[in-house]
Amino acid sequence: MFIYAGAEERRVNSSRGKRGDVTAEQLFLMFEVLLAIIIFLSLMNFVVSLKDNTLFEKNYLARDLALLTDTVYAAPEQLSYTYTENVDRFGMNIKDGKVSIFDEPEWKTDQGRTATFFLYGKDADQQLEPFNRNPFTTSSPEKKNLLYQKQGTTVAISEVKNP
Amino acid sequence: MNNKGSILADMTQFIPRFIFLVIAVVCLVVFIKGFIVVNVNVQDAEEMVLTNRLLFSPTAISYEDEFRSYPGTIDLPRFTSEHLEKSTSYTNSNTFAMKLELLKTNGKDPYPNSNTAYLHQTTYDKLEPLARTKLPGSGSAKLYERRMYVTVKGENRYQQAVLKITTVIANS
Repeated sequence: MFIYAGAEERRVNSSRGKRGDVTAEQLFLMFEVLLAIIIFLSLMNFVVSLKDNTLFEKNYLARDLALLTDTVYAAPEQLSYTYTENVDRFGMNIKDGKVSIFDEPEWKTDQGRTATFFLYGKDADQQLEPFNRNPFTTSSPEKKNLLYQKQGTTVAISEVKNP
Repeated sequence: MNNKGSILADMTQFIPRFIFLVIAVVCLVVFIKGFIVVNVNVQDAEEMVLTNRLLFSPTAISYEDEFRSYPGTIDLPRFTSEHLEKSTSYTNSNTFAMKLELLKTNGKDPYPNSNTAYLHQTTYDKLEPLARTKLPGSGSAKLYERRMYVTVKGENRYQQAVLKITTVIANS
């Protein structure tokens, strides 16, 4: 009500030809419009950047594979399991109790800028053969799945062709 | 003088409008951020996998002969913190911890000649009081408690008991 009364007053003032009042009104309006445009553009920029952001997928894959590795360790007998999630876009390194997922060819170490990792528990009496997959150096058009195999006290991870 | 006064009055009137604009923008940002999920919380799954790993793994606390392991049958000599640390070794032990207790079938009294086994005991002592507060946030932890009937294999005899597993996982 207060704002409306003020606006009404300003409109009356401007109709009387007081140029200073009109300029102040326009100035504030321009400021608001400019602020709205800046906020809208920065939000749009933020939302568009999310399209290419793979952080969620990397987080998901790291956790999923680490928990899967724990589960395979827990198997009381021999086991063969095909992991059917799409991992073609990502490189991965599974060794020393850590699953690291990366999506850049420049990835060098676990401390790399884009690597995401999650931990699994090693077992002194069961050996996991280190697994490294880097699709950026050896590109293959074939889609591949991960195959977990446990035989005796040895756990091995390999790539198999997607059926 | 009148013009200056008028501008000042306009500015005063614009303060509520500006506050309203800020509230609208904050609501919009919070709304958009609410739709963006980056973190994946797997605490519940992690607890389940860890518990099953201790129960089912042939190298953990289950009894194992030359042919197979027996999930649900606890090998008493293996029921130690040292053995747990050996069979489930994490490079970072600060994120979760477990406490395993064997109780008599009444679920209260401790099972005779059994110790309490810990996985990451130091972390357990640190996180358990925090988890008991049930406070949310990254500084706290979540506590899970499970009880299950098991068979305990002592020296040449089998007895029924209750296995109580308390797991604490830090919120991250």
